[in-house]
Amino acid sequence: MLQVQNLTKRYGAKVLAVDNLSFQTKEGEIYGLLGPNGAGKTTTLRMIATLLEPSEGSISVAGFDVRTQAEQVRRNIGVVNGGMGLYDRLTGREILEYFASFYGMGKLDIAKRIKELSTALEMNELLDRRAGEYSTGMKQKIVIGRAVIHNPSVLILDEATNGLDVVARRAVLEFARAYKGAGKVVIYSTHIMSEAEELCERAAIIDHGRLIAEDSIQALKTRASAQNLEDAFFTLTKGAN
Amino acid sequence: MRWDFVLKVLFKELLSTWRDSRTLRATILMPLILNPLILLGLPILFNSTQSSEVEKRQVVGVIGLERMPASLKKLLETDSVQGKGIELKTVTDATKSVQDGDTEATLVFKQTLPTEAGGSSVPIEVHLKLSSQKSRVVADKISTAIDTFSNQLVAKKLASVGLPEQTLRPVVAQTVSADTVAEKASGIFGFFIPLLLLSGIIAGGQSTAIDSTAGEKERGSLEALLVTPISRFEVVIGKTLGVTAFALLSAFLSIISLLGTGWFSKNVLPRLMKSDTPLSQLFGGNIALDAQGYLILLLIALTAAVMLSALMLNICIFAKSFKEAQTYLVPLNLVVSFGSIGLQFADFLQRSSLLYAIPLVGTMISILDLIKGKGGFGVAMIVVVTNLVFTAIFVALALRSFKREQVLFRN
Repeated sequence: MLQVQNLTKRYGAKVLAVDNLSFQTKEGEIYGLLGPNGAGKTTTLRMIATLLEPSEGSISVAGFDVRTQAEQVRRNIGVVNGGMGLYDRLTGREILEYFASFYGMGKLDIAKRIKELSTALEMNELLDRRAGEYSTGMKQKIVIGRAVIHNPSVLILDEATNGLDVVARRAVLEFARAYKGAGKVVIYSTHIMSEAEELCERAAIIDHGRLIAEDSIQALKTRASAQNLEDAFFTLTKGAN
Repeated sequence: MRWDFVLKVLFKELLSTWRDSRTLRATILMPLILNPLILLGLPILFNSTQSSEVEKRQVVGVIGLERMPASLKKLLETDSVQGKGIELKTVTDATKSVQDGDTEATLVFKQTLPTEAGGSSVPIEVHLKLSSQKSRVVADKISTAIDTFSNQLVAKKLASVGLPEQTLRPVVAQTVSADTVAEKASGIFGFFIPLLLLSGIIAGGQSTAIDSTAGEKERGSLEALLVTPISRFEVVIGKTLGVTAFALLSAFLSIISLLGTGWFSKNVLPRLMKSDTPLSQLFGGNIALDAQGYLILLLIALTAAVMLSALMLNICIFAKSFKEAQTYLVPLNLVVSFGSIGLQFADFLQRSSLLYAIPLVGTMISILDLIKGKGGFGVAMIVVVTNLVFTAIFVALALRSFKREQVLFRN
C-alpha cells in the first residue's frame, strides 16, 4: 500500500533531514513512525503527502509514484497533523463540503459521506456552527473528517493528539482503529510511546533522519529487553547513536 | 486549469472574507466614509480656518513706529470688507517676537516713510514665518494696507499734475479660466482621487490577501488544501480572484462615493454653508466624466485591482503570520501614498508612453489625466496592458512561491 525506499531529504548542503529511509506498510494496519521532535518524521510524511519533494529515493502510495503521479497520490491519502487548522468563519459542514469538492464527489455523495462521518465522529449537532466557536476536540474531529472525506486508502496522523484532552484523544485513537478495520493503512507518527504501544502493530523508530529499527511492537520490546515501548525506544536509539 | 476548482477557492475566499467584520469596515465603510471626509472635510476645514483667521485681529509688532505715517497706521488697524484689521504693538526684536509667538509678524521701519510719491522707494521689512499658513493671512493684510497706502500717494501725485489714477495702469490683465468641466471638477484636490481609488483597492483586497495566504499558513489550513488534488496554479488563480473581488468592490464604492461627494459638494453644501461659490469650485476633488470616461476609469481600476491583488498575494505568502503580512504590506501603502502626493506636481511631468508603462505610476497619472479630461483611450490602453502584463508576472511569481518549500514551510 505504501512503500518508502531509500528516501533522503536535504536542505542545502548542510542539513540532512531524512537519511536513506525505507519502510513499507500493509493493508489494514496501523504503522507507527516514532521518534523525538526533529527526528524527521514530519518531513517524511510531507514527502509522502507530495508537499515536499524527495532529494533521493522513491515513495509509492497505492501504486502511484509521488514524483510523477502526485495527483493520484493525493487522491489516495488523507493527512491530519497537530498544526492543521480550520477556516474559523466557515461552518464544519462548509469546510467538509469544500474539501470534498476537490475529489470530484457529487453533492449527494458529499452529503452522505458527511452524515457517515458526523455519526462516526459524533459531531452532529455542531456541524452547522462556525469553526471559530469549536472546542479543540471538535476542531480535531473536523480536521479528521476533512482528511478522510474522500475515504483515502492511507491516512496519515502526524502528532494528531497534540493539545487534546483525554476525551478528544481517545476519540482520535478509536477512529484510527476503526479506520484500520476498514482495510486501510494508518500511519501514526508520534513522540508519545504509550500511544504507539496502545495503537500500532508495527513501527519504525527514527532518529536524526535515520531508521534505527523497524519491527512489530512486541519484537522491538524483545530486541531491547524492555518492559515497554518507551524503554525500548531509549535503548535502541542510545545503541544506534 | 479546472475552472470549477478555481471557482470553489474563489467562493470560499468570498464567503470567508464576507463574514469578517474587519472586511466590511475596510471594504465598505472606508471608501464610503473616508472619501467624503477627505474631499469635503479638508476644504471645509481649510476654508473655515482661513475665514476665522481673516476675521481675527492679529497682533503685529512694530519697530520704528514714529517713522510710520498715520494714514498707513490707520489702514493697517481699520477693518475692511476683506476682514478685520491688525493690532500694532511696539517690540524691540523683530524676529524674536515672531519666533516667541508674541506677534504674528513684525514691521520694521528703518527710514521715515514718505508722505508723497516721487522720491526713491523706501523699504519696510516684514518679519514673519514664511512656512506658516497662518502667517500668510496676516502677510496678505499687511501687503494690502501697504499697497493701498502706496497707491494713495501715487494717486495724490498724479492728481497734482492733473492726471487720473489710471495713468500708471493703461493696460489691465483679466484672468479667464480655460479649464474644462472635468478640470474644474478635479481642481487642486484632484490628486486625491487616484490616492483614494488605489488606497481603496489595497484596503479592500489586503484583508483577503493576508487571510488567504499568511493566515492560512499560520492556521495550518494551507497545508491541508495543498494535499487535495487541486493544483497550485488553481489555488493561486482562485485566491487572486478572491482578493480582486474585494479590491474591486472597494474601488467601485470609492467611485460611487466620489460621485456622491461631488454631487453633495455642488448641490447641497453651498446651501448649507450659505455660500454662492461651491467648495467644489474652489478646491475640486470631484469627477465629471462622460460615459466613455467612466468606462475607461473602470477599466483602469479593474486591471489595477487585479495587478495589486496578485502583488499583495505575492507579498503576503512570504509572511509567517497575519501580523507579519500586515507589516510587509506597509511599504505598498506608502508607495501609493507618496506617489499620489507627488501627483501634485504632475503638470510638470513630460508625458510619454514609457511613463504610462511604469506600473502604479502610470495608473495614478492616467487616472489624474482622465479626471482632468486629458486622458485618451490610447493612454488608457498602455496602462491596461501594463497592468495585465504585471499581473501575469505577479501570478507567475506567486505560483513559484506556492511551490517553494522554503516559503510554504517557513514555520
